Amino acid sequence: MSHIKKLRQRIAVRFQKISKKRLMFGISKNLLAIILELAIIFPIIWIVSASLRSYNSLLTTTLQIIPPNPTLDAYYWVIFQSSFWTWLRNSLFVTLFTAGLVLLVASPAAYAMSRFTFLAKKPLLYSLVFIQFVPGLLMFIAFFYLLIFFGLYDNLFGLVLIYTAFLLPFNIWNLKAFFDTIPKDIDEAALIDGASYLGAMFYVVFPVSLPGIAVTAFFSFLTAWNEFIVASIVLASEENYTIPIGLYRLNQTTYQTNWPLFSALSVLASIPIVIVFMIAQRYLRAGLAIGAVKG
Amino acid sequence: MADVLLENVTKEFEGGVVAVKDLYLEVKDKEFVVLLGPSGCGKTTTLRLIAGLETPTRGNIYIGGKLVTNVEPWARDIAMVFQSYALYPHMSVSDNIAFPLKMHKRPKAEIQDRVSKTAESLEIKQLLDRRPRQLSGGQRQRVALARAIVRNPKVFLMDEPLSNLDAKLRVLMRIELKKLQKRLGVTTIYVTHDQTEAMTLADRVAIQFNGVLQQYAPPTEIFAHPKNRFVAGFVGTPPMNFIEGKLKPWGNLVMLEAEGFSIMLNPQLNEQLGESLKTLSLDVTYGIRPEDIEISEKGEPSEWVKGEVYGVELLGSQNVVHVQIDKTRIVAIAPATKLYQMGEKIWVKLTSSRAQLFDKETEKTLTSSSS
Repeated sequence: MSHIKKLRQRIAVRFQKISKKRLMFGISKNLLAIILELAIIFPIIWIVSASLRSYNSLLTTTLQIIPPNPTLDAYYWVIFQSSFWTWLRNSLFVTLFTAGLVLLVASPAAYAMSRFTFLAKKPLLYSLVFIQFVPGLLMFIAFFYLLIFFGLYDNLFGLVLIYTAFLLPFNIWNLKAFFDTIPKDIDEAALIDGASYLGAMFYVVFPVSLPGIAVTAFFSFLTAWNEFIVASIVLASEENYTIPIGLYRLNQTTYQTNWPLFSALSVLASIPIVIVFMIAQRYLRAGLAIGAVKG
Repeated sequence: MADVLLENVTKEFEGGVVAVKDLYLEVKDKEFVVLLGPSGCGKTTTLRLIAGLETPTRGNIYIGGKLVTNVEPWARDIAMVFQSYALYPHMSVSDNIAFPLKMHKRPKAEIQDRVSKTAESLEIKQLLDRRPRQLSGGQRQRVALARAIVRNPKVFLMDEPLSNLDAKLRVLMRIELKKLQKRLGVTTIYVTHDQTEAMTLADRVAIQFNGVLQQYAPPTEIFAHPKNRFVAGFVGTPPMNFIEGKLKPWGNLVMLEAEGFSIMLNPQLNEQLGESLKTLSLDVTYGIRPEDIEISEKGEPSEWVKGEVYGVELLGSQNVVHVQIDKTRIVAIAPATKLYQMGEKIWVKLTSSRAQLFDKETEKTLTSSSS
């Protein structure tokens, strides 16, 4: 009898130990998550907060998330008194064209790489990886000469071409990897059902690959939207500025950095990205290919 | 509706693998031909060559008398059912079935009409709005079939279409498939590794092994008169028993001397053997199907051979008895009522008019006279 009692006690103690351990683990896990989330969210909150301040109240020494006299002055100035709309138009032009051009070139290229065998396919694929080892700015000197040669310096389309060139290698690989996961049977079924190679690609493979294509488009959009260095070199005249350049030049117009203006423009600049993400997200769901073949 | 002709077709893949070797195959109009063989025998490659998904290294392919060797798949007027079904996952069932018609630019009204009629004939009308992923295996199979028959193609190609179904459904679909093919009267070429499927479905079976056509004949003939040892062993369950030995004349008769025992050949078998063969002491393989072997508790030494029961498989309708005769083990079929015990001494009669003799070296038949 007594040893059963002992055993029970031992189990109880052990159970307590485990549950204490688990509790500690649970608390520390969540604490870490909260700290990480704060670290990510804080700058965004700070920018939003800064954009609502007046020029003078920003430099207070006290840490206040909600500014004492919140005002939309900065937004008003950015929207109605700066060249915001020109920059937005330029940015949209560059990003949409870049994303479109990347898709237009990368999708068929990746499809060919995934489905067909042809001369020097492997060297071609590996050279795409190798290109990415070269720092982008190193290549930029060559790009710069090319732009001048073709008369595309200080031209938004020149910028589109450079972005596309930078984005293509990665996206071709990315899309190829995605196409590789789609069973070849369905292209072949389409070919037999009367579609040409292009038909099979457009009617069957691309629609099934929407998640992969959406990732490519979103990634290209994001990169082109945020890019600063190349744009600052290629674009000279003010009417060609994209938003990142505008943001930078905004600081140079005054003696001191006008943080509320800077913040307001930053907040406004991030809105299109959020919208694009919300649209793309619908197509980012994976698993569209389930059900094609036996399952 | 058309006949199909493969004229000395060879397909060699990169790296020197020869999947199909010098194949001559003629499929008549409205015929149901099954390509049968173990995996890697070249049967699927043959089908893909006919579909135009592969191009032959040598030889020509004709469909309906027209040379199509270098014609792209979409211009061959064929339909194919894939082992994986290969339904378009982003389209509804009705769009899946309509796809071949859309690709051939049929008018909208006709498409609608044909899709609904086809769906009705395959009893999938209630599924038309669903997506492939919402269907069961059997339903997907029907949709794949519907997509193939909707366009009235010249030739149906089927690549193991039943292999992903469970056993019961497979038997059911087998019968329906055969009926459908007879009703539509479309030339059909069907690939399988399942010999039961081949025997039940085919007008003619083409057995392939290592890329080479072994025999091309109606199922009954393949079963009764296999051309070589491979065909004899591949068709039939349980498979044919093979006993190796030497032929020796024995008066008017011929005897097979195996290791530790001998078998008197059936007089009918003797007649099929050429005269010269009887006088030579030739190394042969004697083949006899399990169902042609008789088992008994007692027997005469002249025709019967003594053995020991090695094991018994009870199948319900019949018992499969494994018998050890000296160093040879054979399989025989006994009625379900006969229960033999392991280790029991029994007699088996291996003399049968349906037995086969094969040359040990070339493995070719010595007895099958026809084809």
